[in-house]
Amino acid sequence: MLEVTNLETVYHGVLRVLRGVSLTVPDGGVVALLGPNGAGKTTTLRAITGMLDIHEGKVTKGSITFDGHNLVGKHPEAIVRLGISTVMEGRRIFPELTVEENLRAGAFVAPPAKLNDDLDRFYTRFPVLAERRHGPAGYLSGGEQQMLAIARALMSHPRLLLMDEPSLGLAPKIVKDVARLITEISKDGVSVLLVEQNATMALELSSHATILETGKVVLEGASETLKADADIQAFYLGMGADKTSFRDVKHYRRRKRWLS
Amino acid sequence: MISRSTLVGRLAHLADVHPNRVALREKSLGVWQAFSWAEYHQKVAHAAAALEAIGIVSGDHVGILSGNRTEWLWADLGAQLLGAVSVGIYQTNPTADVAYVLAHSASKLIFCEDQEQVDKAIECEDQTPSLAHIVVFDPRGLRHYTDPRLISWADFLSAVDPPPLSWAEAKRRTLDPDAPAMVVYTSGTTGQPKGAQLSHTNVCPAADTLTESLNVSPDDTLLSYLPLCHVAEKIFTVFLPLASGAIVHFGEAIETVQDDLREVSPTIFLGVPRIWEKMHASVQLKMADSSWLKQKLFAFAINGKTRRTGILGFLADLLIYRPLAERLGMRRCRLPFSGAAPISEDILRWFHSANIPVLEAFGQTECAGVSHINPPKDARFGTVGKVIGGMECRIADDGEVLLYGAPVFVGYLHNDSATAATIDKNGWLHTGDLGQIDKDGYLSITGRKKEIIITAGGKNLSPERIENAIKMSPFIKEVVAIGDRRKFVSALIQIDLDAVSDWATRTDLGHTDFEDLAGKPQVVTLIGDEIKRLNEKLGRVEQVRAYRLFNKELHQDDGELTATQKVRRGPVCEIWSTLIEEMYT
Repeated sequence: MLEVTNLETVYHGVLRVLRGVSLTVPDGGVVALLGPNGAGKTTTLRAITGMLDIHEGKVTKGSITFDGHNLVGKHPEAIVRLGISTVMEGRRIFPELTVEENLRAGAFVAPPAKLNDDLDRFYTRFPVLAERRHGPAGYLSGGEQQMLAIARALMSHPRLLLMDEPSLGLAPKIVKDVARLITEISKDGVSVLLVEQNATMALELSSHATILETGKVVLEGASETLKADADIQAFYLGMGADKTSFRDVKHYRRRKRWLS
Repeated sequence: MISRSTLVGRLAHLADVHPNRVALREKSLGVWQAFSWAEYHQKVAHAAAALEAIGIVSGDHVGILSGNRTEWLWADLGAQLLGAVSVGIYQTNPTADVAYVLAHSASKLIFCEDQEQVDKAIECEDQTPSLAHIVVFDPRGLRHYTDPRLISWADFLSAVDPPPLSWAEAKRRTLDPDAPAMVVYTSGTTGQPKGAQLSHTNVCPAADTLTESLNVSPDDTLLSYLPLCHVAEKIFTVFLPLASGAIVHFGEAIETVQDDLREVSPTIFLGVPRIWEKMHASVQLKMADSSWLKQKLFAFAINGKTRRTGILGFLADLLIYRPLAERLGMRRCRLPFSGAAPISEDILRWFHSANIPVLEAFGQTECAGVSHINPPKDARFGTVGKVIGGMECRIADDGEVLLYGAPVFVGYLHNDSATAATIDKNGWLHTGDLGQIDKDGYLSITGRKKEIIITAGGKNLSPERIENAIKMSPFIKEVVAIGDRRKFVSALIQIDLDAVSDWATRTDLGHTDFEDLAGKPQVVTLIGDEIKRLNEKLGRVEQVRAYRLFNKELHQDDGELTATQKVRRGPVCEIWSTLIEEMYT
């Protein structure tokens, strides 16, 4: 179980991004982290994975624990060894390496004996990757690259998968594939923390969701409840008034209340 | 000689005497734009001519539904120049409340700030048959609207040429200074809001007295930021500047008040208690995170009791007082006021010890906004000060504060019975507040007459007194004391999100949103301890014996708060009745 408590972070010693964020990802659960640009979603993931320092950031207050292990100040590698893996925003595969080399890179903490079994497993699951296993990963399409990024993250046998905007820049059909994949991953017993701008998809997939705005949690609750919330509908699901045309879009924003 | 018996007369006078001196500044797109007194007068006269052209006549009511901006003044005084009556409406009002005011005042025309407000005016069409025109200041997004009543401010003005000075003068001659010039709707903590009618005679003399006793001059600067439909902001944006020639500033938006305050650095500033509390809390939070040395220095300079003097005072001034005042935008402020609601004595003491001598004032809409003021340099904490010149104050046999003088209002609009219940046959205004006057003439308010709780034991208690005592806690934002016909006093409490969240962070208590925080047993215990501590300031029967926390913030849209953010006791008790019953079973 991942527990983030009252997390505060700063970049460059002055820029406070998270201002007391708390969230929990239970074992086997899918939790969505939603919010507009600059809310602190990616910063939260960076803090969990120990990647803040390379961005000149640090945790100033609060704690992050995974199954009782403190994560603050730990090396990213040590965090991966604890069972947390990340699918980064924008996929970030190694384009010059082959598909198989990418997958092997993801398995650096997994027991080498299992490596071939794992590769076979993923090639069965993603036939496209099997076809292109010896080709450069940079030649894959966007959707294929996303599949590769997910497969690479799973190679280390994580118990918690952090996903930063997996639907970004993908065609609607591919987004559906990614969504199906996330459900499958969760069924395999891996917990997922899903950061998304695509709120419709995130609320569909998750059991629980947390909404961040300017570094603070403004709302959290069961995804079913949030889907019915008026503010969520207006600001995240685009269901506010019956907007039949852009002409009818209001020039003012409804006051946010965050009730549910 | 121009008659100064009306507000528009005063404007004409200033435009005549100091045509080129700055009267107003408005920040738009990041640049401060200045208006001289001559331009101010010209704009008002033009608005009046346009109103006349569209069919508004003397005695008509004209609504204004907008945030503070210069157009608010052009419209307000423009209507008054015609002898029409301006009616301010809170822009935060939901449609139903807008409809109530428009229908009750039978307004013929409404000025709306933007699309959001226009939508409200259009939505309540079936309840407001008398509304014939909707003039919108900012027409963005309205091009495809088909409502025939809708017209943009620019088109509204361009229908007529700016009138000559003689036209405005002729109009002024027809004005009756004793007739209602504006309707100010009271906040309506009990029942529907009432429209208090104020005449020029009500508002002008009080402004003169204040100008004289406080030495207000054209060198003074003010920031207009509280809602202009409230009489308190009207005093500081309209009445006082028109009496003294002081300069009014309109900031960019309500969100930028902090920055605007720092830029303008007004010499006269009215804050509601909530503003002072926020300032105090933000300074305390900042200090808690600062270095050891800074904290020590700060604690030495600001002890919450008295200001440092002598050589230590000089040091404290250099290192703490000045930088702090600079940060808060109070550097040049010589008259910081608190009004519109009771403020805690501790907060006042803290500001005085920080060399920002906040003066508590008292008044109500029905006496044109202000009747008592704490004299600068001679303020007494816990009192609202002395009655201003031109007014008399006495305490009735039942303890009610009574006021007499020119500022006592004309009466409530379309509500003679309420008027008769408020102004007695000798012209004394019954304020509904209970109070005491000490031997030096300082008034202290002890509660509201109508909001007395009578416990099952037959004791008369003032819920306001109990609530103010409990509200001293920094963790508590709102308190609703309950106990009428009950065995003991209980309270519903809304926690202060920022303060409690900060406390939770310091004690490593994980929390997310408001509901989560208010539901934490540790927070419930925290509030319980605060109540226990503050109960000691109350008499035995007044002490709060049970409490529950609201799991959401009270809100105007839910009918729980008035537009001025005061708790509406009745509706709150109704909405949260299960929570209340829980405490008594």
